[in-house]
Amino acid sequence: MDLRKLNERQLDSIKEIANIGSGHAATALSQLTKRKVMVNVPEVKVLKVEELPSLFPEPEEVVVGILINFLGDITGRVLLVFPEKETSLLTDSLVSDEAKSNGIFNEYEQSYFKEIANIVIGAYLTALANFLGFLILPSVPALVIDNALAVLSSAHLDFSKEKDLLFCVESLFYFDEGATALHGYLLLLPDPGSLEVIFKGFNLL
Amino acid sequence: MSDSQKIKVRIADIATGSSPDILTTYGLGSCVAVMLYDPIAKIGGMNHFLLPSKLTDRRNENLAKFSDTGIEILIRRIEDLGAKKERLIAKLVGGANMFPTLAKNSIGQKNIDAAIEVLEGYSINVAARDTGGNWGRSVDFYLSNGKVVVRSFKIGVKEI
Repeated sequence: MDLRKLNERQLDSIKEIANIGSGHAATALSQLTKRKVMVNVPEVKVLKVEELPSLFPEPEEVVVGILINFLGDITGRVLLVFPEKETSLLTDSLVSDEAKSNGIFNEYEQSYFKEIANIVIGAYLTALANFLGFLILPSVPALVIDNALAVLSSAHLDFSKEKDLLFCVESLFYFDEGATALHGYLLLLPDPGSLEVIFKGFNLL
Repeated sequence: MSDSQKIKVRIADIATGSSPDILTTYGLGSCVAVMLYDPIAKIGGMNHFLLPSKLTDRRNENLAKFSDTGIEILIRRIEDLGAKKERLIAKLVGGANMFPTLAKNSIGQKNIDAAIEVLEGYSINVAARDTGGNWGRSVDFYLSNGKVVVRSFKIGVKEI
């Protein structure tokens, strides 16, 4: 599968399933945080690894990233990312003041974010699995709080067999209709072989 | 002496300079920054590479992306500026395993091993390193004295 030669219809099919997934993810996120959550139309991006910094508006900023691998009929990863400086807006409503830390997250906050990721990414993957009629099994979540570029480049290079190009579908969540600064990114990183499986399902090969 | 100039090294990139320039890169996760320095000529360079070997991806045209081809070009470019290979010292930063619970054999460790092996092949001594762990790093490489300042969100600031 040459990632540089995907046609419009193939890209649209991926956008469509990501749309269904991120819609469910946004609903889950909204229920969890008790905030209104809007989601954009997912964007499909095929990038050279060198262009990774262009994925985030501020690639030098610190982010809270939660990575989940998935196996089954298709394989790949989902990375859920929140800018670290905005996350207090999320934890404020759910973690009590005594359990809150200054600076680096404590255990409560870490498990809170892992739980958010489990539910949000779970909703995303379940929607994909149901729509495609596939079996998709998510791994346990891994949480990192670190430089955005370090998180993203390693999430790709450590796990993908295709090291040169990155195929990702980006969904952007806005909270409270953009009234607060809080936002989140969800990146679907399917393995290139799994794209073929999806296209076959749509008769697009 | 002119004012020091901060030169940014992007990912899969090589840059060189001389005293009092500062070479800087950020977002090292599993990637590694190899820094070479000639303390007499005060000339140095940095390669922010992503993968251990060009052999893993022969089609690729960006040679700065791999430890073997990246270091080879880096040496040539600082020699062109007047550095002497036999005086070069190396410092290594990066090669983390950002997701240790999901990846046992990280590309980070392979990157570090590959860089050390390549440098040994050129008989270049690794004078200092800040590698491994599970956190990201950014570096400033001072070509006035060869010092390297490593910054990370988790660990703070460290000089090697």
